[in-house]
Amino acid sequence: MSTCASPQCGKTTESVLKCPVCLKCGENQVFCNQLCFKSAWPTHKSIHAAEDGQTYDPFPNFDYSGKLRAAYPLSKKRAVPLQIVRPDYAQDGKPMSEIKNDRTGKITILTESEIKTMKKVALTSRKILDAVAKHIAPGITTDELDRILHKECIGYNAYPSPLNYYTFPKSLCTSVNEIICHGIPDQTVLQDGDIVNLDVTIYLKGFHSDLNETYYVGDKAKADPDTVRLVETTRECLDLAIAQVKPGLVFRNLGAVIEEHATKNGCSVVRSYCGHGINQLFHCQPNIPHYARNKAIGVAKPGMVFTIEPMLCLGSYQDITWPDNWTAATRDGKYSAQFEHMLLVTETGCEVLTARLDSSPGGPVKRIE
Amino acid sequence: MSSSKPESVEGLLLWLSENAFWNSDLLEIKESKFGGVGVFWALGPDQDPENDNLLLRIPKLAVLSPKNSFLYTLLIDYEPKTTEIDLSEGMHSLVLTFIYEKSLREQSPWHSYFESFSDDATAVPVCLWTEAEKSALYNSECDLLGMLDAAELANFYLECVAFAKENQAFVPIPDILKSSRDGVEELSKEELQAGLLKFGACVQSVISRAFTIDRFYGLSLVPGADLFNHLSPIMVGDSAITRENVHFVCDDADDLCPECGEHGCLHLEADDESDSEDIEGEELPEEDGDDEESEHEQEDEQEDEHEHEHKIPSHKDKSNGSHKHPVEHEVDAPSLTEITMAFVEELENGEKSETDLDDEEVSTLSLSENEEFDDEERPTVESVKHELAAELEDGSKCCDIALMKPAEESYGYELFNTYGNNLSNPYLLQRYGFICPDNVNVSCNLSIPMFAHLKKERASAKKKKQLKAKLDWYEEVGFDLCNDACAKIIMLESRDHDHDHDHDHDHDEEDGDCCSEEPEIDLADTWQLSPRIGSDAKPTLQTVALVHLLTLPFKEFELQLVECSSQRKLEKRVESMLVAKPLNKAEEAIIKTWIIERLRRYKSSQELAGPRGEMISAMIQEEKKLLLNASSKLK
Repeated sequence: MSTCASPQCGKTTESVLKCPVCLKCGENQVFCNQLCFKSAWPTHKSIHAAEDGQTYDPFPNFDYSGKLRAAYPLSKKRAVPLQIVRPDYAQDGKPMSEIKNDRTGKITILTESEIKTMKKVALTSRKILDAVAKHIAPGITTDELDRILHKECIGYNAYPSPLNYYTFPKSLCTSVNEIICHGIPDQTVLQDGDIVNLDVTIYLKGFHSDLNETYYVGDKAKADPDTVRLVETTRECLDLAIAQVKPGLVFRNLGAVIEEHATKNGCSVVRSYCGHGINQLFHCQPNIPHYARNKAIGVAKPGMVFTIEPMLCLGSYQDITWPDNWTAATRDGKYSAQFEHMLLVTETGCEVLTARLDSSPGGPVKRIE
Repeated sequence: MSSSKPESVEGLLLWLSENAFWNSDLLEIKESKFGGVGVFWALGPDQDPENDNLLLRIPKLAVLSPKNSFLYTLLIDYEPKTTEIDLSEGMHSLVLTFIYEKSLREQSPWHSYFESFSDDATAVPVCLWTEAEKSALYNSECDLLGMLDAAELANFYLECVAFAKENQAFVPIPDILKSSRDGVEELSKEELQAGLLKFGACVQSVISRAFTIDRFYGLSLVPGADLFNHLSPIMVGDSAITRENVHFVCDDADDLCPECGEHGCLHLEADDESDSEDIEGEELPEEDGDDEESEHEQEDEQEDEHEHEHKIPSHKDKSNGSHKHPVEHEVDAPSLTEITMAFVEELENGEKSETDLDDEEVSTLSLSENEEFDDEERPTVESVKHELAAELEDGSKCCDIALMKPAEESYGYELFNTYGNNLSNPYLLQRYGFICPDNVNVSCNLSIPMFAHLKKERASAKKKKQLKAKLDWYEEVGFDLCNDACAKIIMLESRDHDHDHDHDHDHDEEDGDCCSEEPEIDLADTWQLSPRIGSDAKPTLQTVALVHLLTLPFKEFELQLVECSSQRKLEKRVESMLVAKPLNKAEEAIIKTWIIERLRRYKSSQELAGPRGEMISAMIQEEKKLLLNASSKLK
């Protein structure tokens, strides 16, 4: 008995049908039948090494907007030990519980005990992000960061929420330079002067916890005025938005604060991706756009938990998606940064559940005038 | 007509340019002789050279629906306190949404739309008219249809006040819902009345403008669409001819999910996974090449997504859905015992050719999305416009006002909509605050004299018992069957009428003329309200049926109807014995008595001055005319 390697299937199977390319490298990747194989092929082949053993760009005909390229092969899907409790999409990629809940307009209010759990999970997710971020340095690959994250998660008995969420292939999102979000960890080697965002979500004790930060790679990045302006403005935008959160906050008003500060600092705000409610579900109501004059629904009440995660760009806010169907890059190839916290609305304001610890790596640097 | 202030139309037009498509080449907004402003054909006698029938298109995401308002989550969290009124749906939720959004002033995305409303505080539902006015309406259709009773509106008001109070920790209470006392039950009658009048003006404002969008968005306010005035049908010969120039069109297809408003979404699938399997299977071959999809298509999907979903391009959802249990679909495919490299190559080549195709497509795709942007681009008005253009491209996610018939010189080229071609004046008055002279939809209810008649019929204990048996049967069985028979006959008659009358106009399907539309089957909902004189000055089929039932010998009633062995037989008998049977003299006499009785009940009160007084007397004149006409036709 083995598990079907199709991310949309994931069933146990007695089939002995194996990917012949993997077999050549001594890998056993089993599929229920040729249909599972056929449907998985476009993504499955990303783990195949090139004939010369070098990393390669899987989308040679794609008109990349910046300098960054996808660097394949991807490492093969990392295993999650059986004792770890998985979310519903872990097997077949389909988060049915979220889909059923989507757009019903109901915003979950957590009970006291749920809040307690949520806080613990949030602290764990912060520790995991910090542990991974410590390894950021010129020379490391994003895949290696993913490996570290995966191991950390397992160490805490947590499931890495991105893994197989709508068949996302990895446990972490790594977004480098012009990547706005949802970058897939691959063989890309971080360079001095890069910026990289680590977006961590874990699933533990029945709750998801989601946070991300953008880090400077090496000292060159910290010495570039534009890069620092972008990263620090984004960090400040998140703080300014968080300062607005209290019972009665009209969610659609949050974007104005973010956009105002961004514009003042010569940055634009991404419109295609939003903050979101998070609890037993990875993504749910409310929907939190980061740009001004949006028509999001809802009003904050104590006990709600949601993320704010502004993405700012040095150039245009317009995004394009890579052919991997995940990686969102700026259309003009200019850098983009993002910061995310998970907030609990309290009676008087809010609590930043994913707040930085004294020991957290990264953190603000001074602008270069 | 929903009245808008001419001077603030500028703000509305600006709003429309930022949120919708308004065909300003063809349209002009100016004062209408029908009151307020109207929309006019800007080219006068000339047709549109482009022959573009689209006058207004507005994304569903931009209409003022409770589902698009910040308030929505509070509406569904709320549990009614004092009444059974559900504030999360329909007219109730829209009125409350309107009140809150309006109170936010510039903070509301619809502010400049609201600013274009005329603030006519006297335009209130007829149930809030003065006692003198209501008394003048005594025995009128408005009275008999229960439109003068303010109790329901008052309950709605009190529930809204309670809602505002409960949520004041989160949202400030709008002025209209502020109450001077702690509990609404402490309000004096005068205070309640004063609050109710202001509230009523809002209700009227909303009801007179609302459109039904689809099964997800429901009743909504649609900026721009409500500028068109109404024109009722008129009689030409013996047929009612509709006169509107434009139609409100909105996609509400069966595959539209009532949960999320998307087409063929995963909600539907989540509800019934097994049923959708087959359909998913068919998608398989197409979805395989997904990964190399063109840039444009991904963009397209994302534009749709960004308002409501954090991460997932929606085609992802589909591809996942389609692959869930692949083994169950392709039964014909030979099952492989080994995957060969040749098989892999085939897969690769198939994928490549699809990619090439996609690349071709990119170049031919529309202008709105793939244009290059300046390096220094910020989210300015211009770039946001590209987003709007993309939204407007997908007609299924928008509402349209479409031109059906050219504007006419006799109306100064004003373009009219219809708010309902079957609405009688009492309903026009109740919903829109105006009436239409010579409205073809006129009817007179005879319930009160009918009940007086029943009372007399109960003279003896035996008769009383028999009557009760008949009415119980009618309530439980007969009335519905009668209605089916009535509907059938009306349908048949209207089909005949179609072929009878002369077609001197082009018979285009979309012409909006009397023939292309389904006949309106106007039946009373309950047997108690069913006796009526119709617009043809004849007792309606429902009336005929009820009278036949009353005069039917009791033995025959029991034998033929109550003890009828089969449903089909019963349906036939109901049709032949009650609905389709001509009235005999005695029966005509009964109805005539009812008509005379109704006529006698009108008060001979003096006429009231002002527009309301004029409408009251016009409606009563119209009713009396119909009743006299009907009476003269009966023996």
